[in-house]
Amino acid sequence: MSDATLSAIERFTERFERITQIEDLPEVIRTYPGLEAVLSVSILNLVRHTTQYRVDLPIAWIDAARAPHPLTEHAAFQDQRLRDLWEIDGADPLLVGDIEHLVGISDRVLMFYRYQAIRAFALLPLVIDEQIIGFIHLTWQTVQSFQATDHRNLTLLARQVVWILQSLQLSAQLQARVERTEYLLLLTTILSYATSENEIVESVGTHLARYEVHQTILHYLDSDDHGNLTTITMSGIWESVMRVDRITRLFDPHPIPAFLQPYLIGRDPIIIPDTSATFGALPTSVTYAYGVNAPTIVILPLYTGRICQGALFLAWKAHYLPSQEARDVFAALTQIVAPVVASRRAYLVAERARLQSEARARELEMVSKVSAAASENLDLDHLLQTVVDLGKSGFNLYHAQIYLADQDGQTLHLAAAARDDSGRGDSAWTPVTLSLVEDRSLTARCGRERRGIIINDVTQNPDFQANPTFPAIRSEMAVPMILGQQLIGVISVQAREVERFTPNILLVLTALANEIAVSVQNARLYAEQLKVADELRNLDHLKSQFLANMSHELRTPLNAILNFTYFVASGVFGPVNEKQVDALSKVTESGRHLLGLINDVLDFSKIEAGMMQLFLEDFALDELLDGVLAATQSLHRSPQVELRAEIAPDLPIISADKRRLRQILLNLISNAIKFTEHGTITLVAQIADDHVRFAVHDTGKGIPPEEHEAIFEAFKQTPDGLMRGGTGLGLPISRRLAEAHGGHLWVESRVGHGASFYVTIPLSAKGRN
Amino acid sequence: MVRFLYVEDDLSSQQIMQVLLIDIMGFSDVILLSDSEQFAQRMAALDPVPEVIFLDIHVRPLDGYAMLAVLRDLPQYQQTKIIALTASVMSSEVESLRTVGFRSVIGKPINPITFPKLLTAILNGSEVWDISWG
Repeated sequence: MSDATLSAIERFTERFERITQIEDLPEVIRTYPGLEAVLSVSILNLVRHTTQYRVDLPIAWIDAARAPHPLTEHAAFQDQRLRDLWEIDGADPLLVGDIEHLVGISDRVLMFYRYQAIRAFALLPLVIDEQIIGFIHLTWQTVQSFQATDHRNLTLLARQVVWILQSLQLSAQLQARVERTEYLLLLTTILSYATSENEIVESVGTHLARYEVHQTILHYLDSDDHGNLTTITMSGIWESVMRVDRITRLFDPHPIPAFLQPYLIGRDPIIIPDTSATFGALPTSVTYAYGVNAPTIVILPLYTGRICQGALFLAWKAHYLPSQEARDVFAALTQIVAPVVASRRAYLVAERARLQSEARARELEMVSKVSAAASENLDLDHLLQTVVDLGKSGFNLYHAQIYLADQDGQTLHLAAAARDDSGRGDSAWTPVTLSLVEDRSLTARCGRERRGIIINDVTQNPDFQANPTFPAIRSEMAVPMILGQQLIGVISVQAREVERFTPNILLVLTALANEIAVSVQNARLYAEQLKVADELRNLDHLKSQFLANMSHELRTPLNAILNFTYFVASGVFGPVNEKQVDALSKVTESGRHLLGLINDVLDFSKIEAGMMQLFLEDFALDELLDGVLAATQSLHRSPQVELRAEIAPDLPIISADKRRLRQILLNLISNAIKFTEHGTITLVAQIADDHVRFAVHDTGKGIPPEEHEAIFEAFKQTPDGLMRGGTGLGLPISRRLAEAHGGHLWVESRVGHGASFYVTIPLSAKGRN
Repeated sequence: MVRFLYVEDDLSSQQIMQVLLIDIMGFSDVILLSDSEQFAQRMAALDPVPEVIFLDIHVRPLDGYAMLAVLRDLPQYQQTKIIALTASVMSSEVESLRTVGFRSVIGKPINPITFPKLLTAILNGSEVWDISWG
């Protein structure tokens, strides 16, 4: 071999050493399959090609523990008696040309070589990083005369063996890396499809099975206010086959035991080979929950950037020392799992926010629906049924009832119930009355204590009365309906799930219950009002009937009084003198006044009862006014008063109640006559836009401003009016009649300047009551 | 000569109608009934049939409405002018009189001054609705 070749080999070897010096060569050599076969061929070839020595002699490979491994067939090297011989150190080969001349050799070693018929040998240390990892042992049967070149050649031989070993190691490493990469790639792919914590853990756990990992637990971690890590969710595979769903409620934090805290601070995988030595005796519940009941655990913190997302806890059934390769896999695993966990957590946070806001929106919608339904509803039974139906469906409840308290606050009565459709239809189970004093049910207790109560697991509550019709009740809640100091009732709801009711829902339902209490009270008051109104209507009907009867009964005698008086006075029954005529005319006048009173009272009661009906017909205004003026001529008036009419020409046809219009105008004119002692009374009629405007002006003494409205109030006569008789109903009736036509009636007057009454009536009255 | 029929249970009212028709207006043929017993038979038996019939509404056993229905069913009364005479002047009652088919109504008390004019108008074919004194 040329020197150039040798130096090239040296350079290569050096470089290779640098590359591999951190690797664990003895481990590779120990575990590399078929190592001896490879070495055997390689070393024989090396010996054959790099030395002139014969190769039919025994060669052995002696490992770092000084155990000999024969590479050629020679039984002697099974023996370990040469141990002390090989306890040489230093990197130089030991060349012994003739054992008989070897100084310091023990008899035992000498005997060994003699017995093997070995006269010379070479012991070539295999050195990496100043560490002897084994030897090559060459033997000869004849005395050898080793030269300096032999020494150099054999040193090179040893180096080449080292190089072979390193190649083998490199190849093993590459293979392992390829496998690991493939495996991690596969895991990455699988994890990317994981849609739940269980799936993440399952993927990781399944892929860790090759390292005999017995249980895998994933923790999501957050720092609490004190900087301690808190588990917010946890999921694990407790057995390699059986999956146990241990997801505690998402985002319901519980602290990680203090003894584990320090292990979660760093980013590197923590290997705890002997948990009992490290942690001592721990309660079973703790060790089980955190996977530390196993002799060995590994904690893999999961970081993205600076944020600790969580940790993987791996546990083994028996003591286990992870190989470097396994450690590499664990380390790589954290890099893969951390972003998956981060994105999963981000999704969970978003999802939780979405669910919360949806739930809140749903709750608020329900609350507003229920309270709107409650406030719109004045029928108590319907109201309560609506509330329980809406509440049950809106909050997805199993059953909902409302109990109302009786007046003395001793008893609750079932007022409405809504049950799940899966109920067997028999509601007889629901107690119809509950004693507020002694009943042990949640409903009665809530009413008694006047506060909302949640029972989140009825099986844990000794007072819970199981119900055969609704076996699925797992949690229940009751809230009182309170108005002021009064207990109106209790709303009681049940759910199929344990822990269905949160303090938040309790608050919502409590607010709702108080609104419903108001609605219940409203409905009760309304029912009472309806009753009163009904009674009033009856009374009013009786009154109207009475007035109609009275009117009828008074008219018949008036018929006789007025007609017979007229007959006598007009001489139908024989001659009468002036005094008699005068007296009879007073009877007539009184009779007519009485008739007027009857008519006014009847009209007014009809108006008050809203029963005034107009008989609308088309007629000529001229015709109406002619009739009115003719009638006014017969009215008794002071001789100093002149009646005038200023009627616009070409007045149109009007659609109105002719008799009522005439009544209004006659009333205004007769009033004017009553209060005017001298001067003029003028009836004016003119068209303005779509209505006719009448005015009655007088030159009486006028009406003071404070009486301008009072004169239109029923039974309110001015002192002056009282003196002049009348019912005091004429103006109120006239105004109502004008308004019934869609028109107006008002007065304008100054004391000392007469009064003007104005009436407007639409040309086409709509006629309203 | 015009023949009148007046069904009225109040004797004073009967007498007033007699004075108005006979003494004041000069008619002579006035039949007065104090009740509506066997009204249909009695009406069917009348010959000649009255040209004008005044019906008080509150008569027994048949009231004004029932009597009108009876008369409607008798062919010989199809041209007869049938006038309701009523002391019930509540608008609802007046409206129902109109609805059942009365073409003229005179309210009680009767105004002796305007009555001759109203009756003349009715005889001349007008429809008269005068339920208030005036």
